[in-house]
Amino acid sequence: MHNRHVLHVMASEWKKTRKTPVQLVMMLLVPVLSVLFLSWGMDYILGISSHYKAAVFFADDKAALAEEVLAGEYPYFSFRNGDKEDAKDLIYEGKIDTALIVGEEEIRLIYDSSLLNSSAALKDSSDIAADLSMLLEGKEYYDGMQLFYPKEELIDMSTPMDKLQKHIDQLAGVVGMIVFLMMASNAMTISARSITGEKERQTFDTLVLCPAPLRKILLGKMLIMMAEIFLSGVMGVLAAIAGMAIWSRKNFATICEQAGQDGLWILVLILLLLAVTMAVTAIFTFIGSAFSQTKKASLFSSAGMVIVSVAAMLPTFLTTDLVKYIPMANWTPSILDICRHDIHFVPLLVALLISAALLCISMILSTGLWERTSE
Amino acid sequence: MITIEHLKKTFKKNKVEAVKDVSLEIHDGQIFALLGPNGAGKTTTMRMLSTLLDPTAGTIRYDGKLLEQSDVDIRRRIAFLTNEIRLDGQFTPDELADYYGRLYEMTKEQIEKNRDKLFDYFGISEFRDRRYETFSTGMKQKTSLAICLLHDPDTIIFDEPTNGLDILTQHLIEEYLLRLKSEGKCIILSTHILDLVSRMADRVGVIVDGKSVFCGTVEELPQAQGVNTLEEAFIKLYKENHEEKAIVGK
Repeated sequence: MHNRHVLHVMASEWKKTRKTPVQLVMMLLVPVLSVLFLSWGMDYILGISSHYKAAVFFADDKAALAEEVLAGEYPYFSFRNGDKEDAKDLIYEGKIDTALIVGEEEIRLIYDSSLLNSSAALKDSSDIAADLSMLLEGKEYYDGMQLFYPKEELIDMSTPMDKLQKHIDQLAGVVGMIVFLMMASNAMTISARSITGEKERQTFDTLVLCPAPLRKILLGKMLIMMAEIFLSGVMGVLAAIAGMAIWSRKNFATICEQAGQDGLWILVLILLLLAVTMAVTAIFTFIGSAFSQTKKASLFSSAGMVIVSVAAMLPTFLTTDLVKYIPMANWTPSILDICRHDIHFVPLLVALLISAALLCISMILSTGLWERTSE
Repeated sequence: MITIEHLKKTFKKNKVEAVKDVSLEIHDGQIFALLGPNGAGKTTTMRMLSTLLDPTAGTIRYDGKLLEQSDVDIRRRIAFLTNEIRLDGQFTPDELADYYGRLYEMTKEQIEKNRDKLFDYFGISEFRDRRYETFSTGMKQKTSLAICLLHDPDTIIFDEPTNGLDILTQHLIEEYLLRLKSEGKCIILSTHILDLVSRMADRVGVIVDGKSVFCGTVEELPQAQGVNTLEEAFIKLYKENHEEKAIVGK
């Protein structure tokens, strides 16, 4: 019956958020912009984007033959007849980022290491050079002054999926961290306004005087905080998916194919975000309840941000399966599991339970701190 | 009736003994004024009466019921207002009434009825759609008063209710307090303004250095001290009971 207190507090807190445009922007727009920008930047830096332009020049008029064989696999390359000078001219003019010159006895690779796009194109150029060396009966190729080994001596064990997963690993790690930091930053702001702010604005006594138990009031505040943080996380994840669909269509299509059509990935993302939401709410509710001045609470909130960052970075220096059981740390391995369509729900649920336990502990401690406030 | 017996409060944090021994008797349908110099322990006593603070020792009974055993029920029956109490600045008076009314478990109809009555009396109706944070001090105080009284409490505890308010607002609040008294409510005021006490209060309690030194009717106070005015009586009581603290150093 008294759960209506919780609902009234939630409705009131949501109203406060709606009346604070800055809070709404922080909650909804900033995660989207950050993640979209980051997705683009990461794709750009990792070289899995289609931003670069490259060309293969054939001195012996074999462009048509090479295009027929290689164009499907290397869509960012054009195949032309010409020599080294033609290629350099196009690079100087900025029309292409990198060029492969197929000569009588060797294949040369021309690129500009000072240009990001040119560097990004280098990897694919090396691959295409290797393929060309086979196609053109084992010619050697050069990277500027350096002699490359012949193709037959290069043994690359990685598959295209391995390469993609490596990219996803890096992308998920960074995007995850940004999404978590956004969620934590929102939690910090909401906690400062809704929990510490009650004491700072001297509205706390009016609440204490109500017959509604303090723990119900705090629960209402925590639940709406969770809803708002979860919403910002959902916005961040949607932006990450949109970012990948926009900037890296080929990889996105491969991931969609691998992740499967059963929609389990949506459930995994929801479980992951719920665990983060609960953990972050637990941390910042406790910090918010411990202080009666937002300035002091903000100082200690930095410690909360450090906890979130460290948890998000755990998979980079902890390679055991244990990370799959730790809220926030389980993000990157779980995203990889989605890409492989090899989803394990037990670790996800354990992480969720750990977060729920943290939330309960935080609520008990925070209620105690609130009850002592009047003293 | 509220009975306070040997009330004591020591703050653990700074080990200050704010209230040492306060015993008072407050009757229904009367205005009780709590008098005392600054730092005497009036506010701490009021905060204990309103359930905001737990006493270190002693008892408070509302109609015979111990406060610590039925604090939630007592909260439904009391209102507490001080100059320090604020409301959420982002909300309008209407929204505040709705929020606090629901926390006091009132029905929508009760909220609307009481809100309209109070808003009309205090002249808040014309500002009901404006944010509380945009109000002047007087408007804020009137809105806080209206919100505190929304649940129609039996006991109203006011810590210096007219401090910093203009004459018109003071008059409006005093009128309303008298109206509440006529409805049989119990009103406890803490104030420095002796004129307000002589005009409005039925009974008076005096606290000096955390101890209650007088509790009786307004007329009894000067008589008991053998003087003519409340002011003289208060000063005499203070001088007789104040413990001069030794000043260390120069």
